[in-house]
Amino acid sequence: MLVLSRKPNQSIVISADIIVTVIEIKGDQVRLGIKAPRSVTVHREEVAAEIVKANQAAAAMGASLPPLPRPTPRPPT
Amino acid sequence: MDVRDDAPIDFGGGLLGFASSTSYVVVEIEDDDYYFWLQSVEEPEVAFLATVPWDFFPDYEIDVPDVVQEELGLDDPADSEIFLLLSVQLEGDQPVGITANLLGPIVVNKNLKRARQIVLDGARYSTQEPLVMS
Repeated sequence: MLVLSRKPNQSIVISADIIVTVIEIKGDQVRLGIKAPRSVTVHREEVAAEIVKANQAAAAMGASLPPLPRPTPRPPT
Repeated sequence: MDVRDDAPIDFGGGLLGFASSTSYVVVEIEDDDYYFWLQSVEEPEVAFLATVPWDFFPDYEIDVPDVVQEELGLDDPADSEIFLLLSVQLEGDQPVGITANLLGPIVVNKNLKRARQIVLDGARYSTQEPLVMS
């Protein structure tokens, strides 16, 4: 892991086309600007981790299924 | 659900946490119109119970990012299909309920057989929304 120091308005460049800039530091929060090609997905780590966890829970259930709920019939429109 | 035929669906980089399965087939559950399996082609032990959202969550809204629309070749919304992955909630060994992941839906181009799991912005939806037994 690389650790480096940056001040507000300074940036780091990742593989030429991803630029992460420190926009503001306020108390214990850092505001970052991320410039990246549109094909690069950027997520807060805890959100991505939540999806990984949900996928693992979804995959881990094996073959025995409980009675599966049916949708509530929609009111007539 | 006309995406249900034998041709595998290309999931690009796979599902989050399941990068080594990039190709899935839809396997129907006999006599069931609501649920189906997404079965990994590469890893036989990897399968997800899934459904489409609208019967259970008629107000569900998802905004597919432009870049994902481009990757999937989704020019026409009519080509799209949304899948939700389901989890069975257990108490001990006993299944007590079932939840849907509304935060990380799967967007499918049913014509080109391409899919991606996307992560919706904000705190509006949860990864464990109960499906209500009617």
